Amino acid sequence: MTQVGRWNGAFAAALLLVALGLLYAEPRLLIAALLPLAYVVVGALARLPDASVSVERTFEPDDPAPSDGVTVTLEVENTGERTLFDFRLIDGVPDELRVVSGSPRGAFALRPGESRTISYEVAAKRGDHEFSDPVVRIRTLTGTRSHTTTVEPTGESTLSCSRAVTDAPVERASHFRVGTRPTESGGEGVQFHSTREYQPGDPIARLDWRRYAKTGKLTTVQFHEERATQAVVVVDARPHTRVVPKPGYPDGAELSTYAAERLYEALVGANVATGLTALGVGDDAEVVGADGLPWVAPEGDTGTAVNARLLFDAVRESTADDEARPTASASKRPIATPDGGAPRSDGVSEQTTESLLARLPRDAHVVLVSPLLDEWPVSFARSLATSDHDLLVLSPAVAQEGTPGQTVAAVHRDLRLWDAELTGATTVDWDVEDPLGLALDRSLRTLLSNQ
Amino acid sequence: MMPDTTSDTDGRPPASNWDATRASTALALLATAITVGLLAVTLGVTVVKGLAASVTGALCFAVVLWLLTWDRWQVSATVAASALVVPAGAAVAAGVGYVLLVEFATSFPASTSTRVVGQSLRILSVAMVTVGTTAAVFGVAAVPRNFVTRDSLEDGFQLVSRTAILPIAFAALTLGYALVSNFGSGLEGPAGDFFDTFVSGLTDWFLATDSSSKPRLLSFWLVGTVSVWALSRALTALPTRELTAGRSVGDIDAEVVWRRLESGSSNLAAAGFVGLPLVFLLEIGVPDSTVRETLPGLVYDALVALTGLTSLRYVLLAIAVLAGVSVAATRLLRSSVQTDARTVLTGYAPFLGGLGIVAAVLAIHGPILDALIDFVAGRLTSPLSGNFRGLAGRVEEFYGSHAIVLGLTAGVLVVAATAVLALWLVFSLGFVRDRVSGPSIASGGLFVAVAFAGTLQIPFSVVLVGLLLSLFVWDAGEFGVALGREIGRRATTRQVELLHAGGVLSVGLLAALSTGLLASVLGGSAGGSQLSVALPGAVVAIVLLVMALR
Repeated sequence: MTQVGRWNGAFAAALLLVALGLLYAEPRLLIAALLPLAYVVVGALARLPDASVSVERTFEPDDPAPSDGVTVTLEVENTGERTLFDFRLIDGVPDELRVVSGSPRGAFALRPGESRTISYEVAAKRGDHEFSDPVVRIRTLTGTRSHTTTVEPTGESTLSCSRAVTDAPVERASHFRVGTRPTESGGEGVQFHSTREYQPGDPIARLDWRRYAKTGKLTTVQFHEERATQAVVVVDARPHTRVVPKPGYPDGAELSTYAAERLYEALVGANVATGLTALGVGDDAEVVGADGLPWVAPEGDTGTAVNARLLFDAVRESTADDEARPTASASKRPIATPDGGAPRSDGVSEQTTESLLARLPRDAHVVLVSPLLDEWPVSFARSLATSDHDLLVLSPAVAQEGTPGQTVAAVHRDLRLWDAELTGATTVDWDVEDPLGLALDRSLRTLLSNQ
Repeated sequence: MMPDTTSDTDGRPPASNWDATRASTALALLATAITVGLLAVTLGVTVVKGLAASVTGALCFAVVLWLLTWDRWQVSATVAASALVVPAGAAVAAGVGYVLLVEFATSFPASTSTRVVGQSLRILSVAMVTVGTTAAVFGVAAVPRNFVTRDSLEDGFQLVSRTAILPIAFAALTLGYALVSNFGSGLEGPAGDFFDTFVSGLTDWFLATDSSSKPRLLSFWLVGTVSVWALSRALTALPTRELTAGRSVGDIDAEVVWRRLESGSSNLAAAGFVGLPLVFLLEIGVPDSTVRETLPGLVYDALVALTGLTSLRYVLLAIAVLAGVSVAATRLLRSSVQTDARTVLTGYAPFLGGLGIVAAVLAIHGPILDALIDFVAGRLTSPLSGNFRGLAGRVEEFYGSHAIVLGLTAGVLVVAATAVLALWLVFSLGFVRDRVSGPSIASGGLFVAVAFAGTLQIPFSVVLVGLLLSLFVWDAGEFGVALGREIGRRATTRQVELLHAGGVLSVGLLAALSTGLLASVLGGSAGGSQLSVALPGAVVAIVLLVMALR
């Protein structure tokens, strides 16, 4: 229990009145000195009640996706027999989570048996987040004594935001037609492509017997060659993508990684041979190849899934490393602005782009997941268009309208999306306020309907 | 304060979230307003007029300190704060001065010497009521944002002192010029003669303009040494090294020449300072006849001619002044270049404000002084009024209205700086803490005002209500500050705030009723002498009881 000297000044006030009363020979002032002294007496006599409170904490939803809002509700009940005139409570929100609405603090009076509710909203981030016990302070009505303690709450204390990758993001994914992909080259297949002169070794089933009957020449029918469907997911997690759409939300790199992870799993689940690469991982990661590019081949051996997991872990670690740096700590992460709010663009070198293009399998469908905060994604889209690769751009909208600077950044991003579309790419704009499932649904529908 | 309007990028609440909570702040403001209103209504029109002026000044002072906490638009805010310093100080001075003037005019001349003491105490009470109320309004204005801190008062003192420099300098110049140009006709008697003799003697000594045929070695040495020293400092301060680097005139390397000039002048100045005591001793210790006999005639004549050459003195003094200006300008430029523009502008903004004040005074000094004289004379009784007008007329004729108004402005600024410094001292000594500065000043000011008002024969109920509300201002303000700091404005806190305020007011009301009842009982039954003995005893007993309880 702490004693607060709130009425020490009242002593001085009483002495001033006594002094003035004596100086001016004014008895009324001497009597008036009793007024401040009354406060001192009441303050000195006030006693703290034996407080007994229970706190229950709940999360809604309890299994959120990153950037989802989670409502935390604390129900406080006075289980004692005395009224608590001044009850204050502060919930132990983990440092890495940010309160985006409401307040995790409250002050109210509680009658015996009465309960009150504090509710606030946090922006979810990936991982398990342990809430510490709420701190409670009780004061007397006059505020001269206080007692501070923690209360162990019942209910939930860990917010898990790890749903994800194992879930099928789109229920209808398996309903899409999957299998082989027709190409422009002739060969084995179903759909007619052309005919050519018979060459020894051609299967007899592909001989055009009708033409042979008419002309007496052996001709071989060619069909659109069909190959296994391939896709390569490119994650843009370079440092300058690490800007947040709003204070407290996950940054562009985190959102891109999360979306890419779910998309990758969905594609694999749909029997699409899917490769994976990422930009901004750093050179020292285990999965980085000799050309400085991390790479998981779409048609690798049995280690593909493990390598993909390693690569996603490496991306997350590089993001976490950046958070640990004092210059780019999570608490000082910039909001997207075009005028220096975000770090200077560390564009991808030409060599890296060339390595990436060289690595892409022929006819692979490329999925670029990027917040589009610089010009590289657009130039990459142009390069892909010239090399005849289909491209899907899935872009989390971390540049959102707000301040004039943010509005300009958002306009720049919209223009980049447009430019990407002009190169022939399909774009999916993911408003982070909306569930990722919607964006993934659109992406997968585009990808799989092209097969 | 401007940064409060935006939140940090990490999603934490804005700084304004941790200011005092709204309900308690509103209650403190309301209680202050009620108490000030009660005092104004009870004490009469005179005090109301004075209070209106001084309260306006207090609000201006609060705005000045608030402007100094701005991070954005810092330069503009500093200029605005500088410009507000004079109106703030003038309003407070006018308010307190008006009350004192009117009370003085109504109280004096007193019929007996006993009444003089009584009237003096009455004037003191009225003045303290005004000062206390002014402080209370200043303090309560700071409650919502808590911008009155030790740091902000330091900034405020710097601002006021920097703003005051130019008005004080101009006032000193104009008043000094008026004094020098008018002392012959303006100052009569021995004082005037002494001043006249002193000034002319000093001028003659420095410029060698008297008709003496002796060598004036000491003054010549002093002027020469100061001139050479100033020159050496100017050569060091000016960018001569950078300008002469690598340059040459014919076969002569300019850099070497400048370096030798620098070292030569520096050595010469050092020799001059070292030799100054010797020359002083020679001047006062060796008679002129001995010098004349010792030196050859030609050398002596040359020494007399050289040290008596007035034009040479003018040249040396001009060199010293020019060198001094060069050094000051160079240092100013160097420090400005090495500091970022915002800091430089913020540093110079008060001087700009001071210059604006000087310009404003020079533009409208006549009407201001006339209005001031009419106002003061109008408040005085007939013999005093006439005397005052006569005196004011003579002073205006001697100094000029611009010099007087500039002097008054400089005086107001000095008083303002002193007041800020005094407040800073109160903070430094620990009487007021930064965290609860607003409620402390507001409550303290109100309490002092009500306590002194209690000596002015106002109804006891008003005194009790005033004392109760002044204590309530402290309680509500401190409670709001603590709650805002711990819980913040985003949380819902109104219920607990109103409950606390209700509880504290109930305690106060009970105490006030009991005190009033006691006063009426004692007033009706006990004699004056018994009461004066019994009451202090009772109060001391209660104090001891409370201390024992604690």
